[in-house]
Amino acid sequence: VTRWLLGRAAYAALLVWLVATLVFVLAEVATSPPTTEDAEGQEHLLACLLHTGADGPTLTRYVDLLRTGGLGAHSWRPPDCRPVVDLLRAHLPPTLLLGGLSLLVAWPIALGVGAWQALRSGSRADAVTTTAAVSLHAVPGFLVALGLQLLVRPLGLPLTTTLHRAPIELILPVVSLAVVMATGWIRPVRTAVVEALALPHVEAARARGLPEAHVLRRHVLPHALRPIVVLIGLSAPRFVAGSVIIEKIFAWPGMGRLLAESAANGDAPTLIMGAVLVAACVAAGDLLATAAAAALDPREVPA
Amino acid sequence: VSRLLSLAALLSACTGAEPTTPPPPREKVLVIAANADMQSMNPLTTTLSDDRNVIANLMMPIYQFRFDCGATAEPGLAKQWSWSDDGRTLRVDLRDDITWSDGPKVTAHDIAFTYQLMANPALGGGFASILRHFEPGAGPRVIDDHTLEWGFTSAYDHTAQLAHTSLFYLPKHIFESVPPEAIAAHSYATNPLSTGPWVFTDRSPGAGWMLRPNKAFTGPEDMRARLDRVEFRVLPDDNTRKLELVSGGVDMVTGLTPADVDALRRQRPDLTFTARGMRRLEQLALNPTVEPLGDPEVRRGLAAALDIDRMFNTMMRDSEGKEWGRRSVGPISPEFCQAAQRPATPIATDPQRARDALAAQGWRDTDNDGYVDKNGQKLRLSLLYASEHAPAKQIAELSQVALAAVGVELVLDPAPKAVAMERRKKLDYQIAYAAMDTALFLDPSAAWRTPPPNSPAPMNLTRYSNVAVDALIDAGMAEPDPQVAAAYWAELQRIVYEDQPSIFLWWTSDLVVVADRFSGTSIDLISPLHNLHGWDIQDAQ
Repeated sequence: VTRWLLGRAAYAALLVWLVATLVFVLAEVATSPPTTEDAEGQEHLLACLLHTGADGPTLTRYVDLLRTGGLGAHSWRPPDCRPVVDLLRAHLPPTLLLGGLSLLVAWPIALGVGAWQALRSGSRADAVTTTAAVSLHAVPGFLVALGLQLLVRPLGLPLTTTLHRAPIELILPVVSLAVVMATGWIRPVRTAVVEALALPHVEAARARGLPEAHVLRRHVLPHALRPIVVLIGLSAPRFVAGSVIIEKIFAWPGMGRLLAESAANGDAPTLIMGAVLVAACVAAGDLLATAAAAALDPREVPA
Repeated sequence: VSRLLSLAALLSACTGAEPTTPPPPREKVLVIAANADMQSMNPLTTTLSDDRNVIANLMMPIYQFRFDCGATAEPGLAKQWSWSDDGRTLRVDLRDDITWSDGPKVTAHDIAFTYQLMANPALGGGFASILRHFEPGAGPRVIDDHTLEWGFTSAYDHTAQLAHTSLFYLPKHIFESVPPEAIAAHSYATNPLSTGPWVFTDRSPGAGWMLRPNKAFTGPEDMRARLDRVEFRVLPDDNTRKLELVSGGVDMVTGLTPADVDALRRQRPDLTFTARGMRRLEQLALNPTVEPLGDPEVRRGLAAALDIDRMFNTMMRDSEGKEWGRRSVGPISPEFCQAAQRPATPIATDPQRARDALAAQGWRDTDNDGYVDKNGQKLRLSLLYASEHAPAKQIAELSQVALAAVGVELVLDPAPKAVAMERRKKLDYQIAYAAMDTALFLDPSAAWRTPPPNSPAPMNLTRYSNVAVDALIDAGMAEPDPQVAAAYWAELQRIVYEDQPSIFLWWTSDLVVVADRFSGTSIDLISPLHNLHGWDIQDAQ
């Protein structure tokens, strides 16, 4: 098992390195350190970058990136070219809060609705709710967000984040993100539960006359959880990268907005570090999900 | 019955007409939607004009500028000033009653210290082109605590000279102990001092900030802030800004388009729309190194093919017929009335002119596919624009249709804003959409003077070079009298428009909307927040 886990960890490291290299090359081609222009249009390297080596040789900067994992980099953000780590430290907590709360809302909904549909598999109610969930999932996130804003406008709820950061301002972004998450998870949950319901030991439990809730809790869910855990693990990057559109629409100062602004303004170091962080989360999420799935079912571990 | 009477008496007492304590007056608050977060409230380090517009309200201005066909200066911190006969020496007397919000008086030493800092290489050299106007020493001589003397290497437009001596000032008592390389990261960026009617407070990164009246303000009474608070909320999404405006969550939004005017007016009739003045030139830069764009007649022909008047009517006119810009006939903004008083005639729509110009260069439709070709190659040009900018996309699409009619295939080339700017700097485009802002003082050097060899010239989009234009710029810039200089600028306008290095589309204005319960607003060419202290709410009680 240890060897298997080490193999997966090496695979994760390879993934992160590939992403870092790819983003570095793209940034190298598309951007250059920012300059200021004086009244005659002459360019001057942004003052705060004068001593950071931002305009140094490509190879030196690439080696630095690999050596430090980007942790020593300075952003190309005027006016102070703050260390990228400081920017991530400021923007990650709001995103984790938003993503975490959305998960707490989305997960029970997806589990509840998916299981409810599975128990009525093939019925009209199943067809109607499945169609509704798929349709809602097909609606782009920004439309969900804008629709919610329009819907609650007459109620006087805050439509965006204000300076006061009142908890009530979290309602709309959390609900928007939760809708996007939950509608994507309902169908896999339903499928997993339907498959679990057809298992011989579940049928045997029902034949023994055990209460339905007991059968669901003890025999169906543990089996159905395995693919769902993998699904959630793979969704981990969303909690780190944030949802760019949702954060922009609700003016939520999280990672999504940071990365989108970095891309728009050509802030290559922040973009690279953000991409590396997301890649690391994808890898970690995959690793954890695989490990969790293996713990739930040891047959997952290859001999 | 007696119980009922007692109850009635109690109710009567409770609801009686006895005067009660009046409710406290509602706070007079202006909420402004900021398109992006602030960078720094230190004028030395910020690169955003939006930040500078806020900073201007924190400070007692050295001169108060107004713009009417050109900038004029009125007293501010500088109570009077005088010029030497040759226009190269300026003596300035400062008020002695203005204080920093932490107590000390503002003195001539603060201004001199600030200009010394600007010249420090550790701060990047971004002010070099302004400082070169001053005699060696790069700053004023302090005569006494409230008197300065500036020496210029040569005289030029006096108002521009005043502007160059009043960019901003910093508190010497705060920064004299800070190494120049540490200034950008200094806490002053988010905790600045004030000498003007407002103080900066309540910064919330990514969310916004506030201005509150400066209780320690010692300037003229009529400069005291009338509102209780100005709140800036960072709303990066266009639609959200408009939705918040319609919902009453914000009172003021900038950067609107004429199409927005119609939509917003329908939803909220109590809004006032203001065009700040035509400072932005929208153009399609033509890379002269790309065949056949090096030929001036082809460039003029492509301009004639575009039907710019129709594009203008589509994009710059609202449903009530009001025009929110003006067709451009060259690089001088119509706001500089004297320089633009003899406008060139706009190139008339004439697709045949384009066909003829292309044919003269050997581009003809020999295979009858609708597109001109030469040596077996179809004429295909690409148009680079920032994908985030919706109006640019619309201009690109309209141009695509118009040029197809004269046999030119125009391929749209959208790119992220940063990438598009980078490619424009490197001349890595064939045709590029650009919107360039003009300064308050006429200085076409950066955009139209021959750039030095092997050096970047980001404002000169096509690396335009014309000896006659260079000479006019030199003459105009050396002329202290704006009326005399106007003749040089008018001639420059004519030559550049004739050359058509870019297809000149139109001048646009920053379009600002404010809820009309605010009075005393002074949104103008200088700033959407100009003289914010004069803003008030009439129905605040």
